[in-house]
Amino acid sequence: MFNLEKAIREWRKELRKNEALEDGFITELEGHLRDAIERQLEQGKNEEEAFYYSIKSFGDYNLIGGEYHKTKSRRINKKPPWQVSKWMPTMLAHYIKVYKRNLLRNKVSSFINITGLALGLASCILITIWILDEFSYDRFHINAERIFGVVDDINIDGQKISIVNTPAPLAAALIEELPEVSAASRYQKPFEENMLKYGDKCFYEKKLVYVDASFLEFLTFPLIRGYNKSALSDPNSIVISESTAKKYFGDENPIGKILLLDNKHDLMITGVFANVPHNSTLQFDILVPYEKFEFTRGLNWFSNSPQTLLQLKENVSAADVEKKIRKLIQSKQKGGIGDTYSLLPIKDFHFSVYFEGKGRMTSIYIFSVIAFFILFIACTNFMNLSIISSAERSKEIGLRKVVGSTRKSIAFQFLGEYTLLVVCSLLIALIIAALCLPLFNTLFDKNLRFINFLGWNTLFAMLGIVMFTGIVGGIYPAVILSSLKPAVIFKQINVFKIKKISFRKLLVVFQFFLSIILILIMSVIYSQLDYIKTKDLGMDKEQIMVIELRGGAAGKYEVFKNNLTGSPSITDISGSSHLPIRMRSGGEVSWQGKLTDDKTRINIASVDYDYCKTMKIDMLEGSDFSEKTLTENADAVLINEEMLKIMGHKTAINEILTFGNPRPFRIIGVMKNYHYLPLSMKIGPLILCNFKGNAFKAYTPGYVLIKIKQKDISGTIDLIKEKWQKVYEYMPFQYSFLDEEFGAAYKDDTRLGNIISVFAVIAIFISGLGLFGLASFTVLQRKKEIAIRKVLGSSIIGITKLLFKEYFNMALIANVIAWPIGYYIATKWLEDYAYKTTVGIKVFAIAVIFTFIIIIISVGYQSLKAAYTNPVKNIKYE
Amino acid sequence: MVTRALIAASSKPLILMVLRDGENYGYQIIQRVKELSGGEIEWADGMLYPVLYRLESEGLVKTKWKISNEKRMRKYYRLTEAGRAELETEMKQWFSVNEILSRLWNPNPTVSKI
Repeated sequence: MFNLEKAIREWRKELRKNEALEDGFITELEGHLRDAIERQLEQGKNEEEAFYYSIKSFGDYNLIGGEYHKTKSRRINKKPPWQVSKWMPTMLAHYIKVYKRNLLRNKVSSFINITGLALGLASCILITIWILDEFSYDRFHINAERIFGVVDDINIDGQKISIVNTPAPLAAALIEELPEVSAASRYQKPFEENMLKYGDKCFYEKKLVYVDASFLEFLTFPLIRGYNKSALSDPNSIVISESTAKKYFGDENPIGKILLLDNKHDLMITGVFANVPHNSTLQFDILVPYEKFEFTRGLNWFSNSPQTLLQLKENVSAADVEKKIRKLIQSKQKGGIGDTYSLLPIKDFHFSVYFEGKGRMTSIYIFSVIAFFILFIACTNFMNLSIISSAERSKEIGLRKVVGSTRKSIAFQFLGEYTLLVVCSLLIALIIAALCLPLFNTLFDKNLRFINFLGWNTLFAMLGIVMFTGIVGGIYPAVILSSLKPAVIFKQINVFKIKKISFRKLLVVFQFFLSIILILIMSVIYSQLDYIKTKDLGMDKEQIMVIELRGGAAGKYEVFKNNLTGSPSITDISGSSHLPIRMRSGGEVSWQGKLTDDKTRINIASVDYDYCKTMKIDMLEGSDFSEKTLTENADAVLINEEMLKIMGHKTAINEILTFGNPRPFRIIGVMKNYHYLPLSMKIGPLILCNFKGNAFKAYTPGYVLIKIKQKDISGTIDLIKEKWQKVYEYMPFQYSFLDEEFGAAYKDDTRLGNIISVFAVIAIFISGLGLFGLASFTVLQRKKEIAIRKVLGSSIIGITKLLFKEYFNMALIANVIAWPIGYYIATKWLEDYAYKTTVGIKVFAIAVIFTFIIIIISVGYQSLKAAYTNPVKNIKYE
Repeated sequence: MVTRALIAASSKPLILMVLRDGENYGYQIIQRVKELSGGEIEWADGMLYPVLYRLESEGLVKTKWKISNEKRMRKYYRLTEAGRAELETEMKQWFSVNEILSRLWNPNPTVSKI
């Protein structure tokens, strides 16, 4: 059914679309239309026909509008707005002018905004670089997709252990019998440090590796001197890194010179390679042909020693080769289990359990989350502060709307401003990141450099971040602001409804929440580290110098000890087979009454007779070793309380233990439990034999322990060095201190603690900035209320309290939510430690105190300022 | 059919002429012009109104809204003094052009005084 009125209404709407047709014009035109329709009706047409006929004779609306516009603008050749090209350079210049003016006018809030965002972005950038680096490990090898390592999963006492050790003959066998394998090499790390000598330069080298000649051919470690293909083909050759070359030869060309290895082999340098980059799982400084590796016991198919690295031909299935390898090993081991072996692509080395990489993926997740947290906090800040600083421009917005700006163009104007702000922040962030990179490298123990990451990918990533932050941070305010009604603005009605304030409060609570979690984790980590440092180990670890006896040095242990005895600055001297805090080594032990299926691991070590005296270990019963006892009872041993417990006897003195070759040993004393292992492990049963007893061939003196007096430590060190050189002429003097060694075990956790605290500080700082800005806004909004309260007699304190209350509530809520989560994460982390601190009140108290401090600092300034303002200023009618 | 340029140029004097007879509103003005021109001059209805708007802004006409019996709002236009003067000037110009053209059109042009 044709409805005339409806049709006319639709027609009106059409006309309204043209900007130049004001309401008055349209009314007049409608009158005309109706007259025309009437005319047509008189002539006999029906309504529908009349309507359409009349409309036809009307003309083009745009032309009509254009004519109106021409009159209005009084210039014949000015184009009406809808005909002007969309890209208006003139407007752009205007927007930039406005933007600059605003930036300078609100220096403080602009500064806060940019700083907060820059910090957040800088953190993000650094973490991204780190993550990218972690993923870049081992990718630099040419044909990396075809390079694999052979790994083994074995079962010991029901525990699965993943190792990289393979049978020594495997590499050669692979080349001979599997055509799919194009190259293979053994990769053997020696059991002890090696000694290299050139002239008077003599050093212990920790990073020497034995390999086959093909190693340099299929793995990409380019030689800067010498040729990859032939460098290791001679069995008496050696290849060294740049830094090693510098160490021994300075700036001279090392090619052709001879190095003496372990006082046995003269090897000629045939190549120098560029230092192995940090993102290679295979780390080494010196390569020596495998033939020089002396460990005849293990070079057969039945014991696993070297890693085996191999390269497959193109278009070969790794799965097939893996199956073949298993069959091969099985056949060579004549009935052994070949199925435990698998191929691991070199690209997966860094994150695999075989190279201690299991925790790395987790770290990446954790740090990505933290980076995201911080960026999120910075973005929410940005959002909040943008709204605030823009609220002060509500008049400008109102004016723009009145003069004819559309909602869209206002939204775009602000979106553009925010994006520009983000770009500024990004530039500052890049500078901050570049400056902080060295610190970052120390924290994360890496060697990252910016240059490595400049490229198209990074550029796109940056652009992405900018757009994301600009849009996320700017879209909310842009939308809100553009919807403001001019009438509301100019009538001074409170522009922002309560609804929006709650959203901002939510953001602040969330920021607090994140910061508190970080604070909690940080406190727990430091608490644990403190606990470790101060816990009583049951043995002394202060001022004890540790010298490792390598090579054949153990033989001269007695001589060395005698030389040192009697020095006034030395309190005690002793020795042990293992490091006193790392006595984890054991074997089969049996005693009377032992249950046959008891498989408890028992730690055994051997020590000098005065060990317990030097280390101040207390005896529970029986007697300690003594010089005299040993000449009479070489088979005397000491056990600890745990061992006693395991044996299930009430007393153990004079009991017989059987182990070693096996041989019988007699217990002469029981020691109080003490920590001979890192605190992450529970104290287990321990047997200490003495040197004279010679329980295991391998348990000869491994370490000299010297307790030094506190006075003049460096003088004492020099003295000891002198004595060492007298006894051990050609061996370099290397020492450390027991408490350092102890701390080294917790290096990772210390690092973790430092990293988390840095991030916690950043998060708190950014949150604080946000609070500061938010507080200034609240104060602004409520300035009339505050002024009135002042007039009615409220004191400064009263007003300050008023403002604080709001934020304390938010902080309280955030705390309440954060505590359970923080507690859970903290206890999970502490699980790794057998001996740990408790997650107590102190930790939570710290979190609460921190939040209050932040609030007081950020809000305090604003509150006080507000409280002191002259009320007249705010109540005056504008 | 008269060309567009001429329609445009003549719209102003035509409207002023129609209004000389008294005040009037848009629809009627258009009808009058159609009548008087015998169909020679046909405007698109809508295009009249901007012209009226211009005349108003130049102060040549005055407007007043009136409500008709059928509750319809109409805008009525009437000439001002300036409008009358403008009409005279326009007409003089049109007549002089007309005379020149007539004289030139004549095969035996005689010079005559104006």
